Amino acid sequence: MNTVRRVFASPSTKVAAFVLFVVLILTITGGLLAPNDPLAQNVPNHFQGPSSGNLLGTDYLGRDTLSRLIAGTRVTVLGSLATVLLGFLIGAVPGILSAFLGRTSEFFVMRFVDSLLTLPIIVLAVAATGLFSNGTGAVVLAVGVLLAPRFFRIARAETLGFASEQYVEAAQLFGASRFWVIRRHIWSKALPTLAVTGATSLGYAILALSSLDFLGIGVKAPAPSWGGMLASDVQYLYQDWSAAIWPGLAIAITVWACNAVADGLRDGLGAHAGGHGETGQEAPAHDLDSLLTSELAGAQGA
Amino acid sequence: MEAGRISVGTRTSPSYERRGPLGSLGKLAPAVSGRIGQILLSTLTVALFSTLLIFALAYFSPSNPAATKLGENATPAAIAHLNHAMGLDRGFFAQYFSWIGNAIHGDFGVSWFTGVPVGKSIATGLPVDLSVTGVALVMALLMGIPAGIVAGTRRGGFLDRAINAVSSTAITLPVFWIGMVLVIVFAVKAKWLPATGYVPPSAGLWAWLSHLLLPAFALAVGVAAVVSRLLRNSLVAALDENFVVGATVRGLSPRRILYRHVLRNALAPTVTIIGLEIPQLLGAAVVTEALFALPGLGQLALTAAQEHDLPVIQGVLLVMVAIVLICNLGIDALLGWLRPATRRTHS
Amino acid sequence: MPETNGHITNGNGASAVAERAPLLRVEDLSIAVPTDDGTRTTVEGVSFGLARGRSLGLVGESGSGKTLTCRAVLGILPPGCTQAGGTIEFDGQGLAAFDERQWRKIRSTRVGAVFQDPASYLNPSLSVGRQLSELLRVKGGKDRKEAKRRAVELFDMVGLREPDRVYHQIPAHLSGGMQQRVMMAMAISCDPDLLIADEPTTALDVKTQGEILALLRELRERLGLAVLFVSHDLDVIAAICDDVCVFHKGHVVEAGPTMEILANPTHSHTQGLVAASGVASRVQALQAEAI
Repeated sequence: MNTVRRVFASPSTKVAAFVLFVVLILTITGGLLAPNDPLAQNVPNHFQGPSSGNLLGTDYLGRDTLSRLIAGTRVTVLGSLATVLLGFLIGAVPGILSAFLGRTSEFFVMRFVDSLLTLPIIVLAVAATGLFSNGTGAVVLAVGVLLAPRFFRIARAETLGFASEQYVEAAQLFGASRFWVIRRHIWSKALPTLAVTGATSLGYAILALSSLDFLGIGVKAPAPSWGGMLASDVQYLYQDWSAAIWPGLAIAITVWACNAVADGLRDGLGAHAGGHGETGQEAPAHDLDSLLTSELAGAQGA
Repeated sequence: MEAGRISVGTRTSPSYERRGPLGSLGKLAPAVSGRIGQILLSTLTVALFSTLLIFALAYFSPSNPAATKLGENATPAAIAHLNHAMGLDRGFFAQYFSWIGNAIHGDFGVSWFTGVPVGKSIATGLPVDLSVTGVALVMALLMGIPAGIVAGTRRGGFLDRAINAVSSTAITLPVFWIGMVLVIVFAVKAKWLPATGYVPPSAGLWAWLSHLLLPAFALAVGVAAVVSRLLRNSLVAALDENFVVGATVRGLSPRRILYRHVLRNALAPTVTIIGLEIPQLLGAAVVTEALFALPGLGQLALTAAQEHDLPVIQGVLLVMVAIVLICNLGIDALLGWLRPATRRTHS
Repeated sequence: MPETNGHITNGNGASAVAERAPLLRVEDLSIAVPTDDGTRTTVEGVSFGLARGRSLGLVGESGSGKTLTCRAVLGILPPGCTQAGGTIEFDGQGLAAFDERQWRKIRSTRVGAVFQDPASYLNPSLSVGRQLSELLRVKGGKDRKEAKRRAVELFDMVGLREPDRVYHQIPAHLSGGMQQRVMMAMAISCDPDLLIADEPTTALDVKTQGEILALLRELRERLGLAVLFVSHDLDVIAAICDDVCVFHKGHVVEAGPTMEILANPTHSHTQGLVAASGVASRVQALQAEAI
């Protein structure tokens, strides 16, 4: 209980949690809460400004912008959650185990992880759709795999840090098995930091998937997605630019909320990533691993 | 025995373990001594893994090149014949080594669709990418470093908080949205700068730059935000260190202390992050190229992806990885110059 | 030297320490440090004087205020700490009124300093030679070539073997004793009148400690330095200081020539320190010899 309170101590984290709550509701309900049919065209009524019928106006086919925004939440957020989950699953556990490797295998494992870091996420996702299926599945897979190195490196760094602590060494002296030590001590200690990584990665994934939707990869028109809406708006910038504001705002606010919750988690759970304890802002981030969690967060609208 | 193996933390603590994107591995390599040798060994290993990965993606891709090339009415025999002619019936490694060997000599194969050599398409697209990401990087540093210095030297002050507010907003904005806003403001409304297209520098420096300013700025905003936040934090940390007191007591001016001593130490994490940003920047460039209609590698990859044009996709990925690896070598050299010692020795 | 009586909280005894025109005079110094609720005065009514060429030790356990006092003299009180009262005069000038530029003018050229944990006071990323020659150029007015030559000379002077090689080393690649020698070279590089040494030997092993103290004595004689030496260790103080001020809980409880204080400590705290250090017997032996 206390921990929860500490995580949500700052007002910005509270606001962020509320934003994520709303986003979650919209994700669960899909288009149900949309005031109008997101696919219903009303061509004579295109490019309307905000009105009582269309709170955020209409797009080039006269579709209700607000409804499309609400309906587009699900696919964007679900896709991003899936990539983060995938990245976590294939990153975190191998990361912990990698701390126990011998030197040579360690070298090769680390170089393999580095090689994933050399691949630009967007380009690999584009390539994956070209090489495999043209759809959300390939995109989620590609982005998820390239998110894994973050979880891997964080989990590894945490494990290396904790494994040297005295109580872990003591546990081993008393004959605890490696597996038990990992499950009992390291896993529980590394989780807060991994949670921070998860939150920042979610923000990053939303940006990446929106970018791919913008490129026309992933979600197919006419189904609405935040990035896809912007892609159609951009065709008509010269006629009406105001429509382009809303999806961008939706993305920005959601990503901000993810980052703010990550900050709250970092402060509240005493996670190491990117800072130590209370003042995440003040702490130096000297090592690559904390750089990965703290500063790469949505670094690029990649 | 179990207990003996697990105490890994004593070897190196995680913070000192690596320095740059490719790191001084420092551990393997009894055979390879010296920093440069180790970095080269890492780089080569990473290059091997990356290229294997790229090749494996294509190798295990369900798209059948012969079927794609011959169209839907091809007979299985014709497909098998073409597969053999293209050398696609060989084993994985045989194909990999001939692919990579050719690529090293500049031969990336031929597009299945257009018949244009991939190397040629890449040669036309690459300058666009290098221009836009290069200009973006310069812009990001020009914005991010001064902002980081201003914020870091005025900890808790108004400017610090203002810069923090701006940068934490900036990292939440999608590149393509920033680009759209720029287009609306500078091209649609003000008509100052062209919204689309690319002009090579040979056509005039300003013509070249004017077409790059908007896309590069869109790319630069996020990187600048990351750079300024990171630099601010490491400056704050470095300013608290004793060597600043030492330099003060020796009577050096605050200006000299900041620029000659503190900044040098504080820049290392920033340089490291720039290394990590380069692949992201190349990825984001694909998005900006689409938005600003720049004929770069991203456009090439997008078209190729729609057409399942394997050699082109492979070629683009390979070139991107090569760029990243070359940049990482540069970053490692820069880190070595900035911080000659790892923190290992004196802690 | 008359017996100082009992509790000297206002440093009456200190005036006796510096009969000659003092280079450094501290009068009734108070320092306030920030606490959770406001500030607390941790150094109160400290006075002492230090004449040219003499050496004065400030001794006391950690938290007794000796290091804060020495930092106040150097003008580098930690953030939030303020000089709450009293005066510090260096060569007749009040330091309290000094601005940034005036401080810069006397640093290195008039006052040098060495600290505990020398490596942390050096830029970890630059070679020690570069740092020293920077100092010689900026503060000593030498040109690049001359600065480099002089730097190597200074390294040699502080007893660093292979000074040419040391020149190119970064601090982390030197041993603790070598780092402290580098610090000494920097401190004396611009011919100061006063050297302030804050626990310079504490982090070193006993053998190196002895070598550094010997070097300090030698430099002092050669250059006619006045030395303000801060230590928790009476043995070290006895080895190097003409006079001593004993700190306890932010006050100077006893002051006077080192030999007398050690031979006849009057304040109970000093007596404790002397007994703990085991220096008393040696002092008595020395005095017996002198007589």
